[in-house]
Amino acid sequence: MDQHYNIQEFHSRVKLAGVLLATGIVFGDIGTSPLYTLNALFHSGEVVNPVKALGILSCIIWTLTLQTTLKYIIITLTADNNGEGGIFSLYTLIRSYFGKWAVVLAVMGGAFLIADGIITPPISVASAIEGLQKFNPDLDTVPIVIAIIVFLFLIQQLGTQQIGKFFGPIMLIWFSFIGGIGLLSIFSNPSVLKAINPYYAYKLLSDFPGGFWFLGGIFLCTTGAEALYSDMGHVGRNNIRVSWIYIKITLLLSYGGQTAWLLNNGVANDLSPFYNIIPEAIYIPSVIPASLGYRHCQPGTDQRLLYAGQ
Amino acid sequence: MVACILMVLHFRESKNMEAAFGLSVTLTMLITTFLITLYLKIRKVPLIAIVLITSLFLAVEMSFLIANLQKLHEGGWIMLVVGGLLTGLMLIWYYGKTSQDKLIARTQLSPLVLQKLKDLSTNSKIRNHATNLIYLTSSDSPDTIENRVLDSIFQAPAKRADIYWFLHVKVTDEPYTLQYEASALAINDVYHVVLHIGFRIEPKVDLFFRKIAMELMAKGELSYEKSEERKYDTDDFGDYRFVVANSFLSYDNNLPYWRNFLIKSYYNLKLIGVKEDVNFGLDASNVIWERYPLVFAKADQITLVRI
Repeated sequence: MDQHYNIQEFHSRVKLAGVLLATGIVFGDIGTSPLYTLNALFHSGEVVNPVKALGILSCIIWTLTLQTTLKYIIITLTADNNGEGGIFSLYTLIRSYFGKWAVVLAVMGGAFLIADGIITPPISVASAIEGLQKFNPDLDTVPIVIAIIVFLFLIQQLGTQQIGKFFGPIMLIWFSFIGGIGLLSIFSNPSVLKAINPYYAYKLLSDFPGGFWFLGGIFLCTTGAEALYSDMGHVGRNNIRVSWIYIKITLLLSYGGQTAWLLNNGVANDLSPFYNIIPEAIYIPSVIPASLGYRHCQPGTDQRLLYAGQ
Repeated sequence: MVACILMVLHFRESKNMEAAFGLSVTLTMLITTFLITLYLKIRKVPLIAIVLITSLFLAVEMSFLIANLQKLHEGGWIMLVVGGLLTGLMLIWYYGKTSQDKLIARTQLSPLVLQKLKDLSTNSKIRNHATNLIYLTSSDSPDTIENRVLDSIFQAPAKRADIYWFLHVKVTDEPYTLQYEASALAINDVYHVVLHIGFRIEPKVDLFFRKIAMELMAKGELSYEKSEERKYDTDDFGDYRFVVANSFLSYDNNLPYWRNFLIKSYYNLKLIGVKEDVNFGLDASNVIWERYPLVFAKADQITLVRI
């Protein structure tokens, strides 16, 4: 009886650790999107149109549902090759059936995955550091960003597991934090909850002048989804799925809170809406985890890349 | 890392990167959608479900793509160039590698060949080249070997070694496999080894080889003769050399323009790419480099006239 209990406890603990690991490893990318997504859609000084703000929030909610949840979390994560994910694993699974064209697709996919890996660290770190411009709008962020990127690459050599253990708790705090401040902000304008209705998204895309072109910015909220799949082998499918439930809630709260601020304020300013809803007292401490939160620097070492055809 | 820093220097602020980032990720996701469709097809998911899923995601992603293409001039083009270049390089690599592999001729390791190897191995009139001579081969079966390996051994001056190893490294589709097969083609003279390495494992072939040799010795499947050369050496199995062969484009070739371009690009890539010894984790002190010419298409008959 006693032993049985111990084993049970052990399993639940492993699972918790796994979930934490997943949070640290695969969600860093998607967790920094709230920093810049809405910033890309509202220019400094722009008077906020409620139709646009709610429509965009609605689009974000449904993009995270269709693209991230349905496509990646539910469907794509099942396509693992002995537990490993990513475009090359997918290619391995289908190559014996389709031949030449699958190769070209996989190669293109691999090339753009590398290209993503080149641009993701700069945008994540830069958008985090730009939060500091609240205190000094003339601050030159470029050297700081470069220093942090170099630092991230150096610690990445420690290995994925160690980084996950280290970043897991940090990211957990990060997501709780963005969810918390989002929730606080939503209280000030609960009408943003209406955006769950996809009708607002539809209205933005079809009726609002130029509304369709906002999709380019809206897309930024789901950019980390591909990383979930590539890094699946490090953490396991179900750990990703379980942590996603919590992470999605916090992300939606963050976007909702930012929209509430935009509606209340009536006009966008220089800073990202994300930074506007952070209470003064905890402002600086929040920039630091934001800049470190990002860790997905490159697709994992995959020897098949080097040995193709050996 | 260097590329990341260049990006920071070029764009400077996150809002300038958004267009490039969005475009690049949309394209990756679109490709994943195509591959997932093919995957669902082989998993025998009902056609109607596949069509529904695919058209839903294609519609969503195509909208994103169109919206992102609008911002091409805001920096999106950079990612297209980077992605296109990488695709081009990888396809050239793939093409070159496959056409090169098609040309590799193999022979049967017949009893005659093995006898020749045994003979050479014990012929004390020839200076010893190395105690262990390891050829990296693309042949995963113990019955065949590339012609160039035999040429390398037998062509004068012949390379005598106590033991010849034909080592094939097989990268498996599982992430963390680490296994080997070993068969003695001629006991204490010729061995064929297949190393199965998972694609996430760093291939430290040098280290793995020593481990395999030790294990074979411990099991009594392998022993070294006490020769004069090895009298003073306290090492268990003496020295070992990996022979790494690289092909190059022979001047004998006469290729149509496009193939010539692709294959030349492939060889140029090879020059700047990761070297095989680094690739396989071979210590530089244990590597012998060999180069051999490859003829993809023979030049026409030449008329060279004596006057």
